[in-house]
Amino acid sequence: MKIFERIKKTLKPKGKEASKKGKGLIILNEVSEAMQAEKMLKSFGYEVRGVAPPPEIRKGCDLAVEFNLVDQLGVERLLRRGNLDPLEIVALDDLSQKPLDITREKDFGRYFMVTAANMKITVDKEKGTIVNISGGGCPDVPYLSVKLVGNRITEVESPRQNGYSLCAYMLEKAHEKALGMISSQQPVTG
Amino acid sequence: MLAMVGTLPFEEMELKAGETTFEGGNLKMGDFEVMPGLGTSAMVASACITCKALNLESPYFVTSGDIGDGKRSKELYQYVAAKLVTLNPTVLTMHYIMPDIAGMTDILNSVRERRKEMTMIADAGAMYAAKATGLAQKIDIFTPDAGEMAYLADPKATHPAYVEHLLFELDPSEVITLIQKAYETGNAPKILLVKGAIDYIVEDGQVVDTIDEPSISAMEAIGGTGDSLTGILSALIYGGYEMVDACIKAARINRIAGKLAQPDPATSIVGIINKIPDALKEVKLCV
Repeated sequence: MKIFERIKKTLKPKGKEASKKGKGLIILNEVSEAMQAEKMLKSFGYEVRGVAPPPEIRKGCDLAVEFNLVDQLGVERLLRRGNLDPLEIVALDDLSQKPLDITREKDFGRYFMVTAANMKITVDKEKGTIVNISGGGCPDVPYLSVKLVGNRITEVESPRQNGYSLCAYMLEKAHEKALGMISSQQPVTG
Repeated sequence: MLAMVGTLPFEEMELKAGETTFEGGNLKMGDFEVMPGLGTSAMVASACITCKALNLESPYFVTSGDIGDGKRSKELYQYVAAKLVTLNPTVLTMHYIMPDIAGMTDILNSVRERRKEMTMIADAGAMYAAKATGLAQKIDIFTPDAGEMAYLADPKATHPAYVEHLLFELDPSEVITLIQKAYETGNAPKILLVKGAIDYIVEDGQVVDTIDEPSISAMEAIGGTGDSLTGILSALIYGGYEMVDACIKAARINRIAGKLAQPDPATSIVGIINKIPDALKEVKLCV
């Protein structure tokens, strides 16, 4: 092999590794489902492509769909609308990575705040209203804040219904926990 | 010029750019008006009110409407990458935007020889993008909270949602451990302003100051208090304050504005932004 080609080959893997950064993989049951998912997501403007799943997570279908992880919530919603139920969604640069599923709570007396990763939701215990949403960095967070703040947590659409991003995904986790906390209280009146 | 870049939560709003002011409780750019809320609008409004109090030119705001699908965020990245050299800002602050590795790389590549004359601040989605790109060190200042600090400390995570449980579960008082990890892995810029119950000012991995007074616990729950901090910081650097000094002053001013607003966890960020001029007077930055 010529020296130039050997140098080129030595340097090449870095680009390949970099291309995995921030990418996720949707694992579906069958090739036909993966093809359907790829076509549908593309039609909605998502940057996706069909790829072979790595052997360690191959669970049936030998075609998976690669997407930008940050779009996870919007992608999941579209898959649900298309009646596609992924076996798993994983981060491509570390197959063991999953979104955080733990929350932290803080009591402010009349209010409580739930934190999930970078997202916080604060609820009035007496009225059951969402009084503030804080944190995040994706554009749907301010949008969801406008839709949710000032409304009763038992009556609003969950962030999952209108969000697209991983920030909204974490807001959903915080919202779920806060909803559970309110629901376990006495019925809210007034 | 103080240039500020970020999305606003409007589905159909096309890209807008121009001088922006904060008047009568609203952010104004030409015919466009919006009441500040969580996100970019609170950040820009805070910068506007600080600039006005310090007799500085109003910020130049570049924005587009994005509710999360990321389409107009892409336009914003492209516009900034194409126009940055022409705009020639001395301070560039990037904020809520869909994290996009290619978009952020394009912006950082577009600066080139102008880089040394420009202070670059990244918060929110722009900070996530810079870290995910592996280009955190190309930025001058990040302004993370404790949850975002865990993200910077985790070399594998490409978004705060993918932070290792262990790092998220660290007590907020252990934020120094996260700061050290972020610098060890090259995922922090020269300066960090870590906001929380205690604000940490960090330079090259060393905590150079902490601010914990006045202590207003409700501010943690109020959407936009981190955004107002970034806005004040940007304006102070634009006004000529050195980066570390500006971080210390901004942290104090933001806390004092919070104290003056007498907030509870249900308070809106506008109430705090309106108190920034009084807070500037209290720290004797203006009369």
